[in-house]
Amino acid sequence: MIDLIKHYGKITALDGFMLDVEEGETVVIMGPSGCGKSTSVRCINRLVEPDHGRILLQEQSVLDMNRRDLLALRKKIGYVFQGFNLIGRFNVLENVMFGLVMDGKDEKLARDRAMLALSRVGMDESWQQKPAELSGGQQQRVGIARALAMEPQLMLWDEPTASLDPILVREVLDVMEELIATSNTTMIIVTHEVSFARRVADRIVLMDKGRVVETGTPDRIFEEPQSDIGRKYKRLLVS
Amino acid sequence: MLTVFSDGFAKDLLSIFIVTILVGSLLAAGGAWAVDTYFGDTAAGLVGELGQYDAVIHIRKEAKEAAIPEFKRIIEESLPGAKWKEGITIAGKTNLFLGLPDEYYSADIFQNLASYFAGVSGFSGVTIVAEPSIVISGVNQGVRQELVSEIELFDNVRCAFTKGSDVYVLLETVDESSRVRERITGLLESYQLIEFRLPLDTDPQDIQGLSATLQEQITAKFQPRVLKDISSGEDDQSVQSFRKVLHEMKSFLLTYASRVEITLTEANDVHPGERLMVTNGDTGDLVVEVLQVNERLASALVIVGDASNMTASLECMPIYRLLPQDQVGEQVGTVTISNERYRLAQAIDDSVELLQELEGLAEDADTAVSNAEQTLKTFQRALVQLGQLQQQLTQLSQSPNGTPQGTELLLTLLLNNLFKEAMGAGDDPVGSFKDLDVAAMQDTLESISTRIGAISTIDLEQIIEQIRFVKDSLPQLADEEIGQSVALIDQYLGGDVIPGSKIEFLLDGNIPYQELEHSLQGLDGFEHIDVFTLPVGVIMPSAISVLFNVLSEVRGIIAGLLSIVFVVLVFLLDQATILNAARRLLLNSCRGNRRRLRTLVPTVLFGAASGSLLLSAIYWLSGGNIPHLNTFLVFVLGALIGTVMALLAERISPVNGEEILAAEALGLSYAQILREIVIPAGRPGIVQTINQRRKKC
Repeated sequence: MIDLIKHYGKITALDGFMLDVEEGETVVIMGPSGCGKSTSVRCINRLVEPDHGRILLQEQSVLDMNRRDLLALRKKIGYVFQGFNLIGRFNVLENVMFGLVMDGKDEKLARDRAMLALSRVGMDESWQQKPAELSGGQQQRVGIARALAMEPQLMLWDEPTASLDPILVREVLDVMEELIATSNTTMIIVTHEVSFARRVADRIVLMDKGRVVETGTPDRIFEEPQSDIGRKYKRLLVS
Repeated sequence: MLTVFSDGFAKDLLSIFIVTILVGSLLAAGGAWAVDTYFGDTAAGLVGELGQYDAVIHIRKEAKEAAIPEFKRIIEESLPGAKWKEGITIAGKTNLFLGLPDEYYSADIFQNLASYFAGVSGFSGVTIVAEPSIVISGVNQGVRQELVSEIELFDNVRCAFTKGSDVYVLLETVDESSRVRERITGLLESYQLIEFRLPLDTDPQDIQGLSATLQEQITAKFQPRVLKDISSGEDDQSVQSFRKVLHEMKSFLLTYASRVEITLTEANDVHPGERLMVTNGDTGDLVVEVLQVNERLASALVIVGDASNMTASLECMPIYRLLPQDQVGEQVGTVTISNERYRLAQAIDDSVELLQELEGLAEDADTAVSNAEQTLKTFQRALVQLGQLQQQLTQLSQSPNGTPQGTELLLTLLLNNLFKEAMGAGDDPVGSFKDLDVAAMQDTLESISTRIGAISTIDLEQIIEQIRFVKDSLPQLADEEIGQSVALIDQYLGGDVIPGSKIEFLLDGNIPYQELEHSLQGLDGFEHIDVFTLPVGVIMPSAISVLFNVLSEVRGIIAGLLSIVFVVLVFLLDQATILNAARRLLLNSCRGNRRRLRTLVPTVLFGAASGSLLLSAIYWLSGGNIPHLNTFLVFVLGALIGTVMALLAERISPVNGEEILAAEALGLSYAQILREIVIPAGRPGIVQTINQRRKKC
């Protein structure tokens, strides 16, 4: 992601954001609220269209893709939303199958893959339930399963625990840690969970006011922070 | 917007539009048909099918049970072959439809239909519904018969007649009705009514004079083909008769009232209409109104008080001027008041008495005549005997020895004296008696006897009874009542009771009214007169034709209204969802500044186009026809509906942005998002129904 700029009216969400991610790398993006973390992640699969800049994915310019290629790209990118974004009229299994069925997959195959994904997040027993019948943590796990079911090459996590209470946060983070540990999928995670970030990240990117202020390994960031944001996070970690 | 729909959803959209248009057209047309059928049936029940019946007889519904048998009887007896049907009851009246056979299809029958059924219980009027027909309404009474006479000569006119102030023209066929209508229009336009509105206080005498003056003036100026005074009002015959009766009543009342004759003093001057007062202890104060003044004599009418109980005339009573607030002014003269009613009553009583005496007189006279006749006969015999005696005496006086002449003379003298003393018969009584024309006397006596016989045959009792009846029938009116009644009659005849004295002329239609008015400007008193021109009549479409025309319009109007309602509903239920979702998808994919505005414009344009297309198509297919709403306006209205709905789409039909975002993140196309996420979550409607077959999940 090169020099991304994004405005929402008079507000500048991204102001020359730069990031590159290696394949198989787990990158955690952190920063104060409103610094452009979610916007930067959404620009990757063009859920948000940046006003300026370049996004290269495997040397292919994402911003120049036509509609068909973009849709194909999105199928390779799993996205986990802060607000779960489940489809209310579907049950758990249908939610997880949805992307596969829309992609033309055979229903049985879709069902099998969906159940597998649900079992990975521990939600296979609840496959008949509707989202409204689930807790926040359960809904988020279904959201994760939905993304996993597509067998993405890249997973984008947009503050997946921000809407959960502390008990449920733990539940989801455990799932995430396990997934990260057992897969080679490239992951870009936006989170405020400092401990989690230190445990799972290959690299931490600190943002402020729409741009990257510091980037490095978790050890380096939390032991020798170079930026104010870094120092604040270090204090959080210590406390 | 096209970007969103070109992603495979265009076919869906096409299907949606086609189905929406078909469903909308069917609903609008069906609804209009249902309303039309309902009202048509109701109207047919009310007035019959167009042309099926000729008249509707209205009967109060309470009397229906009794009326119908009577109605049927009248038809069977007076209009055999007529068909009838009981229609619906509305507004408390049952309608009986009547269809006349050809032989009764005439002006007389139609004009007098009411009289046929007037005796039916609950009868409440007749409405003529014969078709084809032309009705001319508001025709002045003075023109009606002329119009009828002229119109009856037109081709294709079966008959014409008047009913109230309308002229009905029944036609042979409907094909030529427009031609007849044109001719009637031309006929009506060949006349005009000129109305001169006069001030309320105009004297009836003046109206007559003014009418004559106006006619002279108009004739001199314009030489009109037609100029006729038709000022008698709406109902000429009856009003004329009524006026005549009132005149006679006034004459009678004036004759019947107490006679007031005033001898004015030289120095005083009174006028007709002026009020004077007589103070009198016997009758109470009387107020009289002067009727006529002729030098020093005046006649008046009692208007306050009553002299009808006087048995003797009041003579030479002082009479005073009556001032405002009933103050008595100076004496103006003397008055004699005689109670004519009392005198009349007395005369009647005397007549009765006379008649009663007459009978006895006739009897006595008859007896006298009989006696006279007997006497005459006896006299006649005596005369003959005397003649014989005279002859005998003469013979005696002429004896052979010659009775001395002195004896004859003595006998003659004795006879003469006898006759003189007995009968006063003159110097030559025997000669006089010989000269009596006994035959003539007998004839005279016979004549008298005949006349007395004739009197005897007269039913005097009956005459006496009738004369008493007349006396008893004499109105018991006080002078005051008479006076007030006369005043009221004068008011009516002067035009005040029927307000707005006017003069109406029937005139050529081609004389310009402004020119006419201008030419009369110089006439004396014309400045207070208002002049109007009016048509002699106006062709009205028959109520039945109007009703059925309105019904046919109703169908078009209902279809049009239903089309509009349907389009609005379609937008509320279906289109708003699509518009809102499409705009959101467009917004997400839009780069740069003013994204909201840039996405709003195509959304609104799309909404306007959809609205125009849907409304125009449905309106046209359903047969919509709202007056003053032409094709262009329908198009514009549809665009307006679509525009408003597009602007309000977000509020009318919100969509779940999180679900749309999740679907986008999963790589779904716009079409898939609309089919799988947006439409199934929207309101039930045509779009959702069609989408059931298209969505996968």
